[in-house]
Amino acid sequence: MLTIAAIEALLSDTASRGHAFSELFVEDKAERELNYEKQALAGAQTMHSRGAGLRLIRDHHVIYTYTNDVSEPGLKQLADQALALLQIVGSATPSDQAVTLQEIHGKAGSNPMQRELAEIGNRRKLDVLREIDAAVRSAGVPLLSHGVTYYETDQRVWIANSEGTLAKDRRVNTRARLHYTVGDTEGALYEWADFIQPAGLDTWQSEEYIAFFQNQLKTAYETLRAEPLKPGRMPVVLAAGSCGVLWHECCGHTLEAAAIASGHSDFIGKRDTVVASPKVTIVDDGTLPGLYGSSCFDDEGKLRQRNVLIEKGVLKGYLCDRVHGRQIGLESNGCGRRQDYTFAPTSRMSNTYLAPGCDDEEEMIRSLGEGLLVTQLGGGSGGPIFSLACSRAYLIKNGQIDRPVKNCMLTGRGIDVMKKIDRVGANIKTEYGSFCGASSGLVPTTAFQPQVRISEMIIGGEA
Amino acid sequence: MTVKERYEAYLRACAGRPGLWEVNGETRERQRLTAQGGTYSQASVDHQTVLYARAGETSVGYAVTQCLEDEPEKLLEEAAENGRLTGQAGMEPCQEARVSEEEKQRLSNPVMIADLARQGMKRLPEAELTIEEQIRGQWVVNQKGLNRQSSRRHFAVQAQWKGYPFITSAPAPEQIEWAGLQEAIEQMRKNLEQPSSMQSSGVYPAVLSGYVMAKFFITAWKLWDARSYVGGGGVLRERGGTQIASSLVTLRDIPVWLGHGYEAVLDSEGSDGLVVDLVKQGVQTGLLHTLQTAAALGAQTTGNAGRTAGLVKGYRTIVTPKNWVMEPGQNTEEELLAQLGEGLYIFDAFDEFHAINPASGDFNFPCNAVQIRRGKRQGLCRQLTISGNILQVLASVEALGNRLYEMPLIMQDTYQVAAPAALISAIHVTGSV
Repeated sequence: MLTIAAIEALLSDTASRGHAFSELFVEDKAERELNYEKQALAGAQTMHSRGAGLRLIRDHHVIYTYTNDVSEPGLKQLADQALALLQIVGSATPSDQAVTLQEIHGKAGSNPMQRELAEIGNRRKLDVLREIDAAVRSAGVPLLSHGVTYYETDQRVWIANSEGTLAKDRRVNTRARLHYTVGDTEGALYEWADFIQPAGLDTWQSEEYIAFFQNQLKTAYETLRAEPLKPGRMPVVLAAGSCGVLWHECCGHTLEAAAIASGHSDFIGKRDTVVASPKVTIVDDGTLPGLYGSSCFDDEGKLRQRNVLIEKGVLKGYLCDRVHGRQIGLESNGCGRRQDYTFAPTSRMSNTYLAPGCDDEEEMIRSLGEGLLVTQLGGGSGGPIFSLACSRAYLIKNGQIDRPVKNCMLTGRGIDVMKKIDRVGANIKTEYGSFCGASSGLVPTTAFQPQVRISEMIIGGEA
Repeated sequence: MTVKERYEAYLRACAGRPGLWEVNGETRERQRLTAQGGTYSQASVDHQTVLYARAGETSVGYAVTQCLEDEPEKLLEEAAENGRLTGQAGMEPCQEARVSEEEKQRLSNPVMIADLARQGMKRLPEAELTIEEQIRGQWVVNQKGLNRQSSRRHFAVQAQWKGYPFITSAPAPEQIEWAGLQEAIEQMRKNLEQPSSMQSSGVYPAVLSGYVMAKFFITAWKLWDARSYVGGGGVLRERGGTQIASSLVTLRDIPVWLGHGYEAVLDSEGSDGLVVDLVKQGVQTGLLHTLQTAAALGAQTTGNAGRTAGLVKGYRTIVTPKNWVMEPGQNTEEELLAQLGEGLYIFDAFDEFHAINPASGDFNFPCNAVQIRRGKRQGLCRQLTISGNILQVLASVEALGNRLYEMPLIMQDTYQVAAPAALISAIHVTGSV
């Protein structure tokens, strides 16, 4: 890492010459990957990333430059190029500005690690892969192929800016990915599933991951054998846990300040108005311990916080980073995030969830003549109109779960669908998490909920 | 000494060492400027070099670094140590004893990018424009005498209008086709101007816009990824030489596509990029290969070894396209709509990374469409889903548009696809009523 004095000198120089807010994001990241196939270690890879991103903001102009040459001449070149661009987009009179950094501290422990990953050694990591492989082979599911990969990431970041802020954060996570093809001569289904811990490997104490992967395989085979669902409109029950990705796609992206500022949201100008059923309270919270979307600071050096976005159906706030928050007249609320130094930060989600209600989960199904129960959603896309692929779904008939169905795609306009929530269960379940991809790259997120019911949704699928 | 020169010197000293000791350096320099309505809003410039090593005496391991000041020995020994960890013997194929070098390119003065943005703002005053200049460099050096380097520049313009991106690329600023962007925006304006309407489910003849066809191929090119065929799988296995699509369909991957950007003379294994005919007049003719897939399937590499495919980024090389192009036809989009007569013009689709199964080609694609009556636009229908299989779509092509929609891979910028609009005889649509 660079010295504090070198960073202060760089920020003083750019802030003075550019008459601009200046921010330096410095990153050092170590990653390891082990691939296990055919009951043997098939590959081992390591990656070391190091680089810096410099951002200058003046009025409504934003300049972002980055390099992995973090030598003094490399950073000097970076600063000169950033200032040259700033001159082109809008000149200003330079002024003296000396930056003195003051480190800010937050609560430790969002990414717990009892022992350094390097100290644990490969034997324990290989044991995890062997345990998963053995569990997969004994799951009683016809498998055409499979493999398991272990990943670990140890990212250290420093974020410093010309207002004197210095924030240091360390984000550690370990992950196992199972990829598999279940099936036989009559058909096959390829999928992958991740078990993620935002923590060191030493937290993998229970055998929760074994049960997780075995359940994935069993339900994948059930889905392969399922009949396609006839497309149409019907009520949809979304199970507690990871089906909370509904909220990520149907309103999370359009509550990001970047979407509001660019005019691509149905929530523009609707603060303190009703935008959803009164049963809906949506929170985004980057401070929750043990969840994949948590960290001490965001990637602009702001402490993460709990943000209530919608309360009992009323829109309360947006997810704000520095630039887009100011464009809509709001301060950052700790939501400026980026994948790494190669991306400028923007407003992003972290752990987004629907707060628990008080409805009976069994009644939600029992009271339906026909409907769809979704227990797992695949990926999706957000925006005013969203889509979500159902990876595990069951047809409900006469208040009973009738049979598994496949090839269902949920689509809708978020602001309309949220008004159709007619039940919210009392029991919330979290999830392991995944990546969300957007203009500042892939960032770790979770999305979860209690069981909910939507009175009607459009379901696309095969004829 | 440059980074490459340090690795060259180290690997020269390793000549004769058994096994494989190889480094692939990938460099990217880029500048971007975003402007709208006479003012500039954002600008960026970046430089990045990533070094990928594969090394080992009896088995190959991998290591990647961005720490350019590290000694070459450190990276190569780390890769070799990773290889030893697997304990599996076996060498990977590699290129040997070839030397070639192109002159390194440099980014232009940013004032030139600003001038280009000014030209664009005059022509497309309603759009948010992002002008980009990018230089991508590739070098591969090994102890067996391979020492190759290429450096290519391209310019790209993205015009964002009403949330829709329209993109064109060119090797030089004066070759940017502004008129094509203007026409594409006008077409979209006509679609969005239509009054809202409802559409019932069913099977309909349709025109799929170039934007929708490109969204299919940004994922579905993987049906032609040779890696899928190594284990005996692959949807197109045993279909080589047979008719898999309408005779109007020709699909190609082109490393140097004249007049457009994304030139890639070398791949990440140091092989020459080749023009690959994947489907010629509807007949299945080829797959995309790396050295490894070619060795496994008894074929020749096509120079398609890369590091990023879809949302996957690899330490090892994986199969990636360069410029994946569906050849255009003769008709304007309006002529295609006239030929369609009654049906749907599907002009927008989204969620291409989840809506299409890249192994089978099956898709459930959320989309928006315009109803066509007597060859004219009538009503705008949102929240539809089209479903089927991409091979069925290609088999039902009856006519193709004469303009290509270009779409680079988002976030990674490592390849692009381009496709024309297609008139197809039938597609299943889940309606909005």
